[in-house]
Amino acid sequence: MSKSEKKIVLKSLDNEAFEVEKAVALQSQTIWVMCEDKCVGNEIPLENVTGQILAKVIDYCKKHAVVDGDGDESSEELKNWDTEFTKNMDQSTLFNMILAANYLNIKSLLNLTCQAVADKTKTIDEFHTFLNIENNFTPEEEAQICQENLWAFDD
Amino acid sequence: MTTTISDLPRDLVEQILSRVPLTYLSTIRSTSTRKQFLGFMIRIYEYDYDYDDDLTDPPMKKLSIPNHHQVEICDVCINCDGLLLCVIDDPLKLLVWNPYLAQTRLIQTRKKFLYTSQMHALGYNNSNIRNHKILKFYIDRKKIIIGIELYDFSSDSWRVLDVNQPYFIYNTSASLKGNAYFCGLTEDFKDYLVYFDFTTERFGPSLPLPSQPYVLNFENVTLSRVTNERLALLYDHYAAYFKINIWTTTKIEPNAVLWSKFLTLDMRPHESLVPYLHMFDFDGQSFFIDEEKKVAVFLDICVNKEETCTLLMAYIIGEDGYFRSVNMGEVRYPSWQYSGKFKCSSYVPSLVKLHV
Repeated sequence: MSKSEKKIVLKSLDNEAFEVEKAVALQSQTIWVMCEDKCVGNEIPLENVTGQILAKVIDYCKKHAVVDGDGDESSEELKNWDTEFTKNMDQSTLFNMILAANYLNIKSLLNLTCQAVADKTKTIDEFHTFLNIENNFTPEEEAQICQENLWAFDD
Repeated sequence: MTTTISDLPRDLVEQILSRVPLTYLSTIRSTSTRKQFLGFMIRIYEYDYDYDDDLTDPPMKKLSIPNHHQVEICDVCINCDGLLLCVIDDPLKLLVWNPYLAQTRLIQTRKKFLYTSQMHALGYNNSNIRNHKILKFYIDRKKIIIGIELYDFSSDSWRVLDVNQPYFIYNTSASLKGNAYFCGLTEDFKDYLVYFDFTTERFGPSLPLPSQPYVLNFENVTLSRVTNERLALLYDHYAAYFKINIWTTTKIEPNAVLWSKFLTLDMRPHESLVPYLHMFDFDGQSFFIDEEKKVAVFLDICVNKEETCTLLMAYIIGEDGYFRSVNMGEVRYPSWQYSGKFKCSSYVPSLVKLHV
């Protein structure tokens, strides 16, 4: 395999091009299928992902790729890296990451980002703010609904 | 541009919600009491309907069933308490599904009588700890009820119910406050309303329907729930197929019911638009109403202009010729297979866990 064949170019929605190792890109099932079908050349246009998000996705994939003996990170280290990775992302970025992970079909990244959204909501109010849901119930109504639903939490 | 959770498809939202502790979820539920719409086949849709919007591009989402059971849904009983009871391709099993929590529960059934058809209803007892139950009718070829069984969610078991049972019930039911309401027919062909009380596990007394049909055996009655407090009833006559009458309850108590006329729909102006609706055999069909807008919503299929595919349509019909339609997308059933495949109902999500 020549060196050029091991590289692949990913092109974002806003025409930003990223040259990456094939092993990095192939973590995306979507890209894997495209390559398998030979329906694309060395350049793959990704119409649903912006360059800003794609750069982050590639960072993730590089970290998680097993490239020529490069992938000897311990799982503990990877986990810490994952936590740091999503820690400072704002809500909009996280949702975009979820959409990108879903479109590119990268299961581990989808799990990570969904978990990050869920984790970032420690209180009920925070949850509403974070998910941008308007709470149109009075405290009395909410208490009543919680009461009505007590049975739902009995295991 | 900021991306919010509303930009995410439903299955991704569910992935997030499934990772949130349940105590947080209860508050989501409390904000989601808007009326919602589900169209059923094997595909299930949720559609927040608002007639003021342009309906050519409705904000519709497809809900998919968590399919780790690998089953095909054949029919859906109208929902009770946010749960859907689904008849599946395996005759010895039933599937209960909470679409909002993306939880399912597969229930093993017993086949007591050979060569009988079955009808189901879902309900719960009205004590502090709500316990859900399934009522199952065995029906012979003449549509006479020959046996009843009850499934209890907490004990995960079926038992034969030895109670005074109706002679015949129409293939329609609605759930109010945990009880299941049916339209029955006496041996001398009188229609009446009857309910099954899941707390006492008995049928209630016969209650009156708003009017008696004038052509025996050629009419259909269909029930629908307006809120958790009230019922709607649709009369549809073979002899006057173009006229549909809808009534709602103004009072419903264990021993009394009062009805008031809600809508009379003249279907003749819509005949060319709605190819199948005017020959409604309403048996097994469903509808729901919006009281404020004074309209009724039905599901039907039609063939597209190019005659290349069959579309699932929702028709919103009101008085004085009011008519709107919503294209819900392609379905793979040819028209002649269409019988009770599509169900609709207003829907309020709930957090009933299905203890898988």
